[in-house]
Amino acid sequence: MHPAIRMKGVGMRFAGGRRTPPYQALEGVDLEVREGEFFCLLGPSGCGKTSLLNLVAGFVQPTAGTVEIGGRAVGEPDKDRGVVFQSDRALFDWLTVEENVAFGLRIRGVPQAQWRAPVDELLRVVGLWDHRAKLPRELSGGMKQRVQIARVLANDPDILLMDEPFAALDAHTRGRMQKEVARIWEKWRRTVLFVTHDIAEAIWLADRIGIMTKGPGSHIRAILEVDLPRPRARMDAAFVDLFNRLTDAIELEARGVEHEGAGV
Amino acid sequence: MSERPPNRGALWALFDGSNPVFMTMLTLVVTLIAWTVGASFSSPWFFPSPMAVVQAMVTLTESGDLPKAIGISYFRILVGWSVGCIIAIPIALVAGRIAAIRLVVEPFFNFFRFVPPIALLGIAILWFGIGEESKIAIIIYTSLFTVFINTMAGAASIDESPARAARSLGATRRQVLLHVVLPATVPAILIGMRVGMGFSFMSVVAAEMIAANEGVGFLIYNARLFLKTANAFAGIITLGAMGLLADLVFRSVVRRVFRKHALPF
Repeated sequence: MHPAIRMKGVGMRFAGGRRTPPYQALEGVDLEVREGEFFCLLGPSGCGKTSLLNLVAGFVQPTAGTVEIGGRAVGEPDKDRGVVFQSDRALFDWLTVEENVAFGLRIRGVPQAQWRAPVDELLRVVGLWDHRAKLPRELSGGMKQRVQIARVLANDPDILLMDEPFAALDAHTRGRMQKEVARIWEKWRRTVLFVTHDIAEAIWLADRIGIMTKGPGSHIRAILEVDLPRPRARMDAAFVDLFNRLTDAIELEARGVEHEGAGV
Repeated sequence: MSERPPNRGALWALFDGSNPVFMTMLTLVVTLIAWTVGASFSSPWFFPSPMAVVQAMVTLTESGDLPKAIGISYFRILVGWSVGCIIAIPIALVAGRIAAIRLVVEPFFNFFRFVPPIALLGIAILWFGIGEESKIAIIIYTSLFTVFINTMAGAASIDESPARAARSLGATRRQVLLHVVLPATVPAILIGMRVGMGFSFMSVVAAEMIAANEGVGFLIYNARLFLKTANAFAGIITLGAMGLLADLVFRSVVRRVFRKHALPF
């Protein structure tokens, strides 16, 4: 069976403009994400995590290597790969919560009789039923990200791509959202590629964690199996041990580049 | 602890800006008094008093000249402005999204930005005749530019993520343009339409002064021939009121139509 996502020797170079120099964001990225697994990409800020995710989504094309989804070369963005963005501006501001969630189904011509039930169910699952008639600007940051998640799930994609979806939330809301994503994922079980720079978040959610090197020319340095039973406990000894190991690895990554930078 | 404003009584509260209706009325009354006093030092042919202007308005209304002029000027603006918007919005939307088209269109717009509508009046008359067409053509030109530039800038600067989100939700490029780019650009389009309407008033008056024998612009300009200065003042005030009313109607309609949008006015 084909892996859900496969990247081979992927490079991503931004051409640069008259005033911006070209930038090699990714170089030699090899990655295989298994069907139905929760995969976290972890790395310091600016390491090209989002570029990698955009490649899988089909928003941009790689300048080297191949990206495959289920054994086929990735094409234009499509409904099989749902994206949850970091910025809540990705919501459709002029549509209510319910209309946002139903957008994918309606745009594809699914009649109301058929989208009503799944949309209603999702609104309940993400706890937005009472807010379904509100506009995004009337919601809190956490609620907006719930809308984004529900909007993508309504479309029933094969792969869920999440780009630091909780980075802009306060610590308390972030914790609650992580729990909810874990809960929803355990129920739905589909492939998730989740980008984060939050180590605890990665351990909390992931089956495997891919550690990225700092840019330019980022790639995946190591992949770590998170062999902890779910639901996970944060103060668990194994959790803390993993947390410390990852913290050291990431710190080394960030520092290593500083030394290199000093030499230039 | 927050500071409380000193309690200076109800009378003072009228003047601290918390009562906008009162402040507006006050300004109006003071202006009228100042105008009356100023006019009393001058002759009615040079600087007529508010009362004389009101009288002129009544006379012009009774004779039917003013209502007719209002109707004609409104008609020219409404037709020209609507046509301008209808032409400008779709092209600007596409130009805002597709860099190649923007590069083709933008130089023309940057050039004609410095060509005021009235400069084209002679050519408009040559092409479309002395009738309504030439005036309306000038209004179309006026509103087209304002609406186009606002819409294109708006469409070019909208956040990329809703469009990307829509693509990942299965929308085609055309659907993205219609269901994401267009609604996201609505506030910019409406600002352009509103500003374009203001410019249309300027253009119609200029056109009517130079080449018309009807309309508010004609009425204002014609008054000088007979030294009916009060009529000119009446026309100017009518023009202001017409603009105010048009803007009010525009805003209230637009707010009702785009209930869910966050509009900047």
